[in-house]
Amino acid sequence: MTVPTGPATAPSDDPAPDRAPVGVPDRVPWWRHAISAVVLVGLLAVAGVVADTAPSGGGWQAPIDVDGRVGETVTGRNIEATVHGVRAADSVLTSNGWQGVTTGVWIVVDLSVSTVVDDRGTLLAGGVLRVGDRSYSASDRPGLSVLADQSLSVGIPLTGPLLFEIPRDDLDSSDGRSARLELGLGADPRVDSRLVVPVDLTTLSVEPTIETAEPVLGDPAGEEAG
Amino acid sequence: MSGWLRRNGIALGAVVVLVPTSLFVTFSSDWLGYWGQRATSPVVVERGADVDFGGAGWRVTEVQRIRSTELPPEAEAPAGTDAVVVSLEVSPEGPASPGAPASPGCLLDLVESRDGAPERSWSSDTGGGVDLDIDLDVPRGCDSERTGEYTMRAVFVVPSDAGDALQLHVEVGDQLPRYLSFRL
Repeated sequence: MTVPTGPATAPSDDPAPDRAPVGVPDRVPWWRHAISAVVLVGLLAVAGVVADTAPSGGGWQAPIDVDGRVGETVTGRNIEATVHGVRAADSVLTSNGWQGVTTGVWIVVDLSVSTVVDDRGTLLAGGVLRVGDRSYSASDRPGLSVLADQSLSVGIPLTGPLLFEIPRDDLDSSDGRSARLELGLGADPRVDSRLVVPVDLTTLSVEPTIETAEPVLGDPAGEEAG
Repeated sequence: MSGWLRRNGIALGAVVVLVPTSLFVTFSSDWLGYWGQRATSPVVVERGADVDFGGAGWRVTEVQRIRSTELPPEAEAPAGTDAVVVSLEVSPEGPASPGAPASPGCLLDLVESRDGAPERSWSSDTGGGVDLDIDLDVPRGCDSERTGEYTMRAVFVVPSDAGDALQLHVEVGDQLPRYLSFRL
């Protein structure tokens, strides 16, 4: 009996000892799967952090608040202001003779304000007193005797009053304790600095009448220093 | 890994090329339009030199800086400020086309360079409130109706602490993003 033999194969010089036979898939080492899993988990974690911390909705174009206090100079990108004091009155008489009488109360904010880098088209049109979820714009009825809507200069402070007419009930409300004065350039404060100064309205005593001074451009202290 | 890179080389190369290309095509028109309308490319003019630009010849002939304390009260200069008066000679070349202005209009800004701090700029509008007793016939800015050579006197009011590294920027609308930057 003869044993059938297969076709004779010539001895091969190819070393490739770990190559799988034809038709059998390569075996991937376990550690490669582990690395892929770790990389995938890492990418998911990074994506989660980015999704969680990225501004959502209108947040990406919200104003950039710069916090300050009464008596302190607060500086934003292109607006700088010092709130000298806050008063309340039943009526106001401004430097041009305009008289404001109200069933509510006038909040008189004395401040100095200027721009920082550029003065083209820079109006103080973003003065707002926020009491809880209510916001009151600075009155422009007294015209040039108040700072509302006035042009600002770079490095030259304009000193004068801002007037806010608010309901009397807001003075003693819990929201009045945490009211805040917001100052910005233009009526649309988005994507730019907004100066924020907290004001406690409950500590204000209401005067019968306040006469406000004429807005003054310039810095007498700077003149003495120069 | 290198084998995987070799097998997917064409696809990876396509991603590297196509992603930036897509971003450029998507945003380029807005981006280029935005920068094209802003004064971002200065033509620097040294002190005393003249230049042809936007259909006219331009030359700064005189610069004065006057402290508010040196001005009379009737000038109504704000305290703590200086008035900077720049005399700028303009030689119009005439209308570029029928119906076009005889002389270019312009925007003027005085710019202060500061080390380690952003530039500050004042528009010539700020000088409107200070009375320097300048002849009313002398223009304070570009006059597009002038057909012959004229000299404007632009007035800027700056705080006294403004430094001496000042430039006059002249923007002519149809020349943007190029603009003139005179060293004063």
